Parts: sequence; C-alpha cells; structure tokens
Amino acid sequence: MIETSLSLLQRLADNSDDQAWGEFCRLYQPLLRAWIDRYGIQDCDADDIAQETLLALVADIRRFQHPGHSGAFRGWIRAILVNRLRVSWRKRRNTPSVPGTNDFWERLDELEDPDSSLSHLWNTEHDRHVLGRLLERVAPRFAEDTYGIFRRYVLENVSAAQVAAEWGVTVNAVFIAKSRVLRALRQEIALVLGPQEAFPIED
Amino acid sequence: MQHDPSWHPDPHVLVAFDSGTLGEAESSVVEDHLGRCAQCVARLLDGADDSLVARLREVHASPPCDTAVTSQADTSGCAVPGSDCTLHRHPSALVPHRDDIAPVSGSVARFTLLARIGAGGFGIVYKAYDPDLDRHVAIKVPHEGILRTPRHRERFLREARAAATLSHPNICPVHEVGHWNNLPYIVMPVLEGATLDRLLDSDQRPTTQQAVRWVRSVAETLEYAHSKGVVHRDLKPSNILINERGEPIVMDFGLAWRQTDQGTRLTGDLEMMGTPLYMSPEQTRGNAATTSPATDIYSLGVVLYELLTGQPPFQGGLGELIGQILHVEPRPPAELNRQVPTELNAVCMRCLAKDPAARFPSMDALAHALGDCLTGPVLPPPDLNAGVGDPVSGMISPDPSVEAVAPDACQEPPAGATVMRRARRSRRTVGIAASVAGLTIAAVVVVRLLTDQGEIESRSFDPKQQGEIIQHPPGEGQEHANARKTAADLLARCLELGRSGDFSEVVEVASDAIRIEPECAEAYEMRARAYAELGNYAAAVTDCDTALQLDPQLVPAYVTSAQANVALGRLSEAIRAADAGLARDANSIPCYANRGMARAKQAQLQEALADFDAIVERAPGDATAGGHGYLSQSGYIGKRLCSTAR
Repeated sequence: MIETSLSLLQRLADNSDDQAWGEFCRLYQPLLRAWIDRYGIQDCDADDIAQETLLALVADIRRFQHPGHSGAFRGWIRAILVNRLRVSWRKRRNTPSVPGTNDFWERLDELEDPDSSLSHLWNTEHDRHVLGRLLERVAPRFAEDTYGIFRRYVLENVSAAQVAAEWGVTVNAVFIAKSRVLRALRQEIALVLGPQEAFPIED
Repeated sequence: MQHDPSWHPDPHVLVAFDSGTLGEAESSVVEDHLGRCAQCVARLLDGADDSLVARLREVHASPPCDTAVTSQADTSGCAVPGSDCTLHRHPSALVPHRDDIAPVSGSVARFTLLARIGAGGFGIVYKAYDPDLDRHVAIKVPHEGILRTPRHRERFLREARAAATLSHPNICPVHEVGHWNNLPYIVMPVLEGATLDRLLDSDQRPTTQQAVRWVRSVAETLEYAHSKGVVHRDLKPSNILINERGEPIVMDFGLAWRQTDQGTRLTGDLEMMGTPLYMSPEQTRGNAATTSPATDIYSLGVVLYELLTGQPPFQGGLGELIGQILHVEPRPPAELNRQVPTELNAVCMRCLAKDPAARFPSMDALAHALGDCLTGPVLPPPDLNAGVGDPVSGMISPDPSVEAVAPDACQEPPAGATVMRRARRSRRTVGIAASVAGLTIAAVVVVRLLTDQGEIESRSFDPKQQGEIIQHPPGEGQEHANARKTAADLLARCLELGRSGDFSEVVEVASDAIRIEPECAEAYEMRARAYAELGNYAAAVTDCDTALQLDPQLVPAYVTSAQANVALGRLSEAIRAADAGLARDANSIPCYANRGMARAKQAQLQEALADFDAIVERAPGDATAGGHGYLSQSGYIGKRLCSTAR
C-alpha cells in the first residue's frame, strides 16, 4: 500500500521546514515560469510573479482542503497563478503583449475557466512536468534496464512483446519492471502531493 | 501455497500488481509467479490500463511545448520523463544527499572532489584539490535540475560575476568560474571557522557585546558591497562564517543583485532561496523591484535578533511565517534577553521595521548605531540616577552626553545637542505606514492623517504648553521640578522630531524623558505614538497602557492604543480603547476614526459608517481653519470605504 507519511504539502503546511520549501520551489518554479513567460512578461518580472505565486501557494496551503477529487491541486495552483498575474499586472499598470493574441486579459480569463482549452493545456503540462520530475527522482533507484523497459513500455507505449525483444528479456520481465517503477512513482506522488492526488485523464 | 502450480493470484491482486498499488511483499510473490505462469502474463497483456499509466502515456505523447511559449521556454517545463541525462552526469548524483560532510569521489574539471562540505538551496559545495596550484579549494556546483536551460546557466554566471566584483577582507572571494560538462561551477577558497548557525545551534552563543561586534563588522562589509551596487539578498546565519581570528566573513552572494548593471536585475529564482525566516517583508511580497540595501538591513536585523535572543523573531509554518513577516511586530529582543540594553533593542527593532524607509538609511548608519551601543559607557547603578525606573540592567547609553543628563538634571540640559547630533545621523522621510495589517491604503491614510497631522495640530505641541502639562505640584522639591522641566524640554524636542518624521529619534528622546521622569504619562504616550509610527504596535500598546495607568484622562493615549490595536488586528481592544477615549472627549475625531476602522474590519459597516459620519459632522469641509479639512476628508474616505465594502 501507499505510504502515509507526511507529504511535502503537509510538511509545508505544518512547519517551516527549509527542505520542504526548497523542494516545493524546485518542483513548481520552472512550470510557473514557463507559463508566466507565455504571457509575454519580461524575465525579471516573470521571476517576481513566479515568486509571488509560490509564496501565495505556501501562504494558502493550509487553507487548501483537498476536496478528494483528483486533479484539484493542479486546478488550485492554476487559480492562484491567474490571480497573481492579475494582481501583478494591475500593480504594474502595464499590459504585456501575449504572442499570438493581443489580449492579455482575455488569455487570463481563458486560463481561469477550467473548461477552456488553455486550462486543458495547463493540466497536461502540469502533469507532464510534475510526473516527469517525480520520475526523475525515482529513476536512479532502478537498474538501467528496469527503468529503460518501463520507459519504452509505459511512456512510449511500445508493445510489451517488442520491448521484450529489444531488451532481450521475457514478457513477464516487462510487467515486473512496469509494476516496480509504478509502485515507486505512486509512493513518490504520495510523498509529495499526498495520497489523494492523482493525475486524471482529461475528459 | 504459492508453489502450488494450481495457485494463481486473484484477478484484483493482479490488477493491483500491474498498476503498482500492491505492497512490496505481495508484489514479490506475484513477480515470482509470473516467471512460471504464462497464463497470468497473458492476463496482464489483456488487462486494461490503469489511469496513471493512461495519463503518463497521454502527457508523454502530447507535443512538449505549444507555440505560445516564448523562444526561451524552459525546457524543464516540457521535460521528457527519464530522458534527461543531466542527472547521471551530475557529481551530486555521486553522493548521498543528506549527509553534511560526506566523502566523495570524482572530479569537476581539473579539481578532484574530496568531500562534500555543504549544501544549500542553491548548490552543493565540495572540498576539492586543485592540482595546478597545489591547494585545496571549495567548489560550488549548482543543484541538479536547477540549471537546465541556457537562461539559468547564464544567470548562475552573472551572479558569480556579481560576487567576483567584490574584493573585501570580510567577503569570501571567488577564485574562478568555469564550465564542465555543460555545467557552471564556482571556485572559492576553503574557509576555516564556524558559521553563525552552527554557533547558534551549539552552546557557544556569543555575548551581547560579541554579537554587536560581529554584526557591526558585517554591516561595514555590506556597506562596501552596497557601494559597489551589490545587494546580498540572502543574509542569514549560515552565510556568515566566523573565522579563526574571530572575524565574520560574508559568504554566498549567490542571490546577489547588482543594481548598476544597466537593467540587469539578478532576481533570484525562488527555488534557489532557502528559508523565508530571514526574508524582508518586501521580499516575501516577491517585489524584487523594491529590493534594496534596506532588504539586507532587515535580514541582518534578523541575524542580530537571533544572536541576541537565541531565536529568530518569527517562527511557525511557512504560511504563518510569511504572514508574521508582513504583518506582525516581533517581540522586542530586550523582552527575551534582559541583557539587551534599550539602545541596542531599538537598533534591532529599527532594522526589522516593515517599511524599508523606516529602517536605517544605510549599512553605514547601522554600523555607527551599533558602534554607539558598544562605546557608550555603562550607566551607573540605578541609585545614582534620580529618574531611572527601568529595571533592565546593563543599560548602555548611546551617547555620553545622555548619561550626563540623567544624574544631574539641573545643569544646562545638553539633550538638545544630543538630539541634534543624532538627527544628523539618521534622516528619514515620512512614509505611509503601509505595514498596517490588512488595511487598504486608503484606510491607512485615514489613520495617518488623524494621528500625524490632525493630532499634531490639535494637541498642545507648543513647548510652553507642554511645560504647563508637566507643571510641578506645589511643595515639590526643586530637584524634582528640574527633572520635570528637563522631561518637558525633551518632549518638546520629540514633537519637533515627530514633525520631521524621525520617529526612531522620538523613541530615544522619549525614553530619555521617561528615565528622567518615570511618572510622566505624556512621555509614554509620546513614545507609544512613535512606536506606532515605526510599526512596533505591540510596544505602542504597552506604552499606552502605562500612560493610562499614570493618567486615565490622557485621551491621546486611548487614540494611539486604538490605532495600534487596529493594526494588530485586535479589534475589540481597539474599540474598547476608542470608547474609553470618547467617554472622556466626545469630540475626539481620531477616536471615531479608529473605532470606525475597527468596526469596518469587523464588517460592522453600519456602525463604522456612523463613526465616519460623526467625523464629517465635527469637521465639516474646509471651512474650519487649522487643517481640519483633511479631518473631514478622512471621514469621507472612511464612508467611501464602507460603501465599497458593501
């Protein structure tokens, strides 16, 4: 079963654990930066907004009650990011240009709407980023072939038979690799986001 | 049982195994079984994908970055899971993460890694051997994953360059900066000694004097860095090392921000930042545009506080911590450590002012103030001091002339001269006390208008009148009368200083007055108002309480108490104080204003509106002379606030 020790989010809420803070920032800062960049914001301002968002997240984390339905956390982060972008740009009284469209505010409204295509893109990129980082943490625990098989079979969606042929193993070894890495990944997810968070498929 | 060839795991066990939700022990049984059972393998082949697997495939298959991302898109945001090999190249992968000092093997460029000697939010520091120069060095390599993009790498190097522009005996120098396997590294000398955080953790907490000396030296060092346009931005005990000669060395200009670099602002990635314990309010707001030397002054104030008291000013969960940094006044260090003299206490509290403009104007000014704390003579024992009522022992006077005032108030009071000298040292512009918790700017303006100008105009700020307030009762000895006279002079001086906005000096001069005349309610009230201006609301409330014990009729003390309590969010107390003030003066506009504010914050908008109406009624428009126009304005602003809230 999945471990139930304190997750990173709980540690953030419970104490001023230096490590938890650093870990959280390392995990989310690049994702936030990439999204803030989309809004045509200059480097240094983008850094500020990313920082403001992270601080707002941390300040609010206790109030974030996981409603139990999966994907709630990424939606909450998206909402706070939208809010910070709004507040920051109102403060700076300067609307940047968004590549592809001239309307910064329109694109913000779009990101705020959970059903918009932009929100779906957020969900995808959030999950890719977070899962990617978590997999990076998990990968070094496995032998090269175990993780390689997992990557080919699970991530790259190559058939079990072909993966087995590529790596010169039997098909059951493919399933064993899949099971082991997935179990480690699930534990990592629980350690970071808590046992409730999952990464649901869109629609 | 599992060796029984007829045994197969239940279908749901198999599903759990497949999705990685089965426990380790059970999994190994299933693994064992699969090696011998083609039937179960076939069942797995036919099985449906679990949702996590489906999601992994989905996000992996979707195009990594959409076109809306700017050209400098952070590729880590689109990291292909598992395909990034930086992880395996990175030297930190060679060593366990948690050990503080761990032997390592491997090399970075020409340097042979010997041991891991430290790690922070930013990178890992190794002790290494430089064969070319035949010496040991410290080499810093950024954390894996931090410097994935060219933009981040460039930033790391710019920051190293910022540090390399500094050459000062108390700043850890940068030997060289280089690239290895596409990763930058920074080479520094190996410093012997202990960082302040280690000293704080151990039993070797410094004496007050020692702490002041160290912090003064750090302030002088940072004055140099600031003069070169470099702000440290990450001062904390772990970045200050006390070397074998007992001198502090400032390290890790990793987040430094060069002000002069035409538009190049090295704002730090938060991921590189450590704990917010030492962050200034403006940093926690994430407003790098306002990061200035004042930011370092705040952080150094936190370090000083911790050295003096053994604990940082704020503690708690991160969210709580940030809230406190933004809105809560720390307990004065003298309350936690009675060895801390008033003067030093004031220096520390001034560093910790929420409003950067209320802190020392420069590191130089801070260094001087700390120097004064060190050089001033210790006050003689209390029995020689006619008016010393402060039980805090070890009081160090900031200035010899102040000491001269106390024992003999009859002599030509040199207090004015003292104050003038001090006033020259610290200039400060009047700033809106924006730190008032949770209030809108407009609301702050209301309170400010009332306490700053309205009050100053409407109260007896004429030195002559002040002298009358402190009239000596009949039959009083000449000596005491002189003390009262001196205290009155000092209060007059406070009013002047208050007008020019120098509230730190007001605190000091009012404290002098209290020392000379401990029964003087006005002196406490004066100091309370200055504390409130400086954002030290807790101290303001305490002084108001004392003032009101001495003189329950002193309406301005109720005003300040109400104001400070509003700022502290203690709304019922604020309302109680304003009520008490109004019971004594039914026309006290500041009492109405503060009660209105408190009620508005309690969402009692109807009642708040009544208070603001009372203001407008009592100070109608600009018709009244003597600056009453803005008083009515505060009423209107308050009314507008209420209607907006509605």
